[in-house]
Amino acid sequence: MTRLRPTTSSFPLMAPLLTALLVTATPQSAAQAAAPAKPSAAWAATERAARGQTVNFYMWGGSDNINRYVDTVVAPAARKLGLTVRRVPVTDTAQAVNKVLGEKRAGKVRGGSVDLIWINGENFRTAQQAGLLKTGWAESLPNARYVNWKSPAIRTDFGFPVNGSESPWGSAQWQYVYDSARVKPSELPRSFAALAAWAQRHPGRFTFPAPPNFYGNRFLRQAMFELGGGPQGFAGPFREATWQRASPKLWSYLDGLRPNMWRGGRTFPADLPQLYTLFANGEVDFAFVQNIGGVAADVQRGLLPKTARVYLFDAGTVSDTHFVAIPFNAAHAAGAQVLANLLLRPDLQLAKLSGDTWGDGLGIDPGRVGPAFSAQVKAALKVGPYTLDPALLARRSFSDVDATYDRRVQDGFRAWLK
Amino acid sequence: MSGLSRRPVPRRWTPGSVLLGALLLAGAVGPLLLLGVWSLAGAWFYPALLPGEWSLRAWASALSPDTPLWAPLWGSMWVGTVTAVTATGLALPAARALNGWPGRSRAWVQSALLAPLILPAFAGVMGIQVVFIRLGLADTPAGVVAAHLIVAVPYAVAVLSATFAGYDARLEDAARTLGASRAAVWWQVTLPAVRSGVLVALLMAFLVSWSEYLLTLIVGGAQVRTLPLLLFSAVQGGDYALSGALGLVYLLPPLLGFALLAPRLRSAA
Amino acid sequence: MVAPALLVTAGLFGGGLILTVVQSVGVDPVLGGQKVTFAAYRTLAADPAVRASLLLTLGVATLSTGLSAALGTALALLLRRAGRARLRFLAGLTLPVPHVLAATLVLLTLSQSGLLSRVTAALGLTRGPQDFPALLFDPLGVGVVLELVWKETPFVALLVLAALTRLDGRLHDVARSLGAGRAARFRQVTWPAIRPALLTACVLVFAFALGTVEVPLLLGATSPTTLSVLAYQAFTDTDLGRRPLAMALSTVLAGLGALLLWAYVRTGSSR
Repeated sequence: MTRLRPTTSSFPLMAPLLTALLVTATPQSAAQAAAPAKPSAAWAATERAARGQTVNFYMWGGSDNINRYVDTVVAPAARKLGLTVRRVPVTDTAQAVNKVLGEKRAGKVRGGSVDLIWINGENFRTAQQAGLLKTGWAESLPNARYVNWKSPAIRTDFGFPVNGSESPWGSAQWQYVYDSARVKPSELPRSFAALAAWAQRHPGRFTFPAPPNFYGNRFLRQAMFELGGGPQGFAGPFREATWQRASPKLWSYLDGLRPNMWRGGRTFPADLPQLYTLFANGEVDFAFVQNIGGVAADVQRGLLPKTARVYLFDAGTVSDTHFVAIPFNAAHAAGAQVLANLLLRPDLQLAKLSGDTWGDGLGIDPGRVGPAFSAQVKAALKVGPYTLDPALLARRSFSDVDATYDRRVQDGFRAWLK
Repeated sequence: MSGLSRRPVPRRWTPGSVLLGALLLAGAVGPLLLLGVWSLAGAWFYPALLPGEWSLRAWASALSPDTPLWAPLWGSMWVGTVTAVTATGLALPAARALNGWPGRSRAWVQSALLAPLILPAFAGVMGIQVVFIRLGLADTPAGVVAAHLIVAVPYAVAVLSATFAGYDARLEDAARTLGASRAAVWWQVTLPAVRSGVLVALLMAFLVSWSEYLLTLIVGGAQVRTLPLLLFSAVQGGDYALSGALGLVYLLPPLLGFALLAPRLRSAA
Repeated sequence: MVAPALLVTAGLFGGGLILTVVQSVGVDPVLGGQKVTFAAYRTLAADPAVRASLLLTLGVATLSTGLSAALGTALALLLRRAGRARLRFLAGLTLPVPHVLAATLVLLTLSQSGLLSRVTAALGLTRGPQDFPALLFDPLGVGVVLELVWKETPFVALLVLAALTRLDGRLHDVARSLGAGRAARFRQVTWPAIRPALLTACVLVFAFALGTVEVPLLLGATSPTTLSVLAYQAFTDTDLGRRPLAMALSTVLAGLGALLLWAYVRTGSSR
């Protein structure tokens, strides 16, 4: 269950399907990987400085799968490098950003308490604008050679240039979850219009987490794309005219949907896990997931029933990248860089992709690692009832749009509620 | 129940008191049972009354050496113990002094001591956090203890005030006239007389700290990890099996402490 | 001798409150120098969500206090009648249960797909989760009230019971011999004896209900939510411009608490 706050570039037109890049190896990139970079003297110094450090890694802590991945895969690997990982769980990434902001304001310019943050989208933009992040380090990590820095999904986050102040960790794409024991594949709504019609026939069986929750907001934005004629129309910087044209359609769509929603649309789940609970217990018939591995990990964990399945809308869904960043005042910046580098290591990336652990998409380009690795990636993904074919995902994906739309949807939703 | 009634008791178990007892017993055992079953559930969905699959996943996840149950458990224990001892240490002389305090000003001092029970503690802690950051107290167990003391001290004062209300200070005078030193009076007369109260105050202060969620989060910045923080995120993450396991680990120490000290509660209050 | 304890409650906490008020009017205690502004309070006053939240907060606090007081008193009287330490012990067992855990238990038991709903389904009373009353995550805060009542009823009961224990049983006998009925005996003898303890318990329960964050976060609706949750959300917002809002909300809550404390001390000293 990947869940970070909003995300990724404002380049829906280029939409170069991150997933495709990540999962399909190309011969050229395999050749590139043949010459492993020699670690520089500077990096050797960083590694030396990192020895014995304890890195405070701030990350959303609501998923046992993700926590266990960090605790049982990442932390032991870090220990071999003389590094202790202290995973600091937060209920919202914004809390970590807020913490660094507070320290900056209190005049704490070094010895800061946050060393590494799992971050993307709106939080990245806020942090970057406030000058909270260390810049220009990510591309010089030794394992950065596995990253396709030319991909717009990695070069920019939320339309904001990444500029080496974030190192990619993984990738995700929006998918819909249904229970095959309750809904036949032929009945599945594959567009927002069809969803509204379905809800009318099955009142009380659909809901989404209320914005400002990330999932609710992203759901509504995708509805707006469809109602507004497709994501292409929202490309580039925020335009007031576009918003004025599209947003009324969104609110009237919601007006129609609301009475047919769970509890008559008077209340909403607060976060994705709550929606999963409703879904797993048969209170609603749909949920969402962002893992490239689909719901494999959640089914295995017993959070979702074995009859859970994933599917996509015909017009496609949003895909994006998530990153790690180092605050400007991090007490253990060297350790944080070594950890960020470790997160990119192919074996750890592979372990993360597996539905046995987390199911998160790769942050690196398998082609840059080698053909053997690409084969392992294919094996790890186990396409099946719980996991969609990555090629299908790639075909049906587009990037998210400028952050301002996100903010407007959030404010508009609050006004619409009353 | 038969085990209970075998002992000689002053009154007979009437049907009413048996019913009340059964209800209370269900209320006490039910939650433990519910947590226990959830902690062993593999997949447990509506409308199943019992898990369809049993699994040790939650316990394996909670107890494996790699996972972070131990740090929060230790954190809760450490913060709770230091808070309890400090709060009681601060409250003891205050309660003793309040006992002999004259007239009107007593109400004022008492209000000042007990105010954090009624005013929301986080309102003060949010304001002081900026100073804590400056002093390097933010994100440290010491800072968290300081925040917990705000709530723990008033509880300890309340408990010990009640204890001292029934305390006869003339005992101390008698000991003094018999030539006992100030310290000897404190250790040999005052403390033994209020021992029950002190134990209850320690327990109360520990429980207050053990239960505290928001103050730990504000001051500890999620770096000082305690059990309520861990449980909260497991519940919010929708992992009820893990929540069940963590809940049991979280519940047992306070229950045990309460059970051990319950006989003294009445005498102290 | 009271100085060390006062240092914590008046110094640390009182000082913190002053800093909260200072920050609520836009002054940074570390950097200083800013102009005093009441913008945060104006923003709050203009926001209908805050008004809804204030109503919800007061409603939840009042209702949970009232219910815990009534049920707690009844439980105390029952326990007094039964007169057994074991029962008293059982009744007190919820006292050490932390609220995060109590809220978890309420969630597992009373949600629409919770244990109780499964029992009613097994008994054929309900046909699906939607038939079970929507007690949790509701805009009226029913779930929050239920958690508070479950936790606080025994607390009230034990405080009242302590007062009852101090009450001389012979007073009842005298009243009975003077021809007082059951109701009159309660009014004339029992009630005056338990009133101070009940009042104290009510004030503590009300104060806790005002300030709790974890319970509404786990059991309440996303909107409206309580003032304390709004304050916490504003405090942790990435927009530092919302900090003064958090401080203003905290000041309002502290003000409500102070009002409560003042009323309590006044009732206490008027007796």
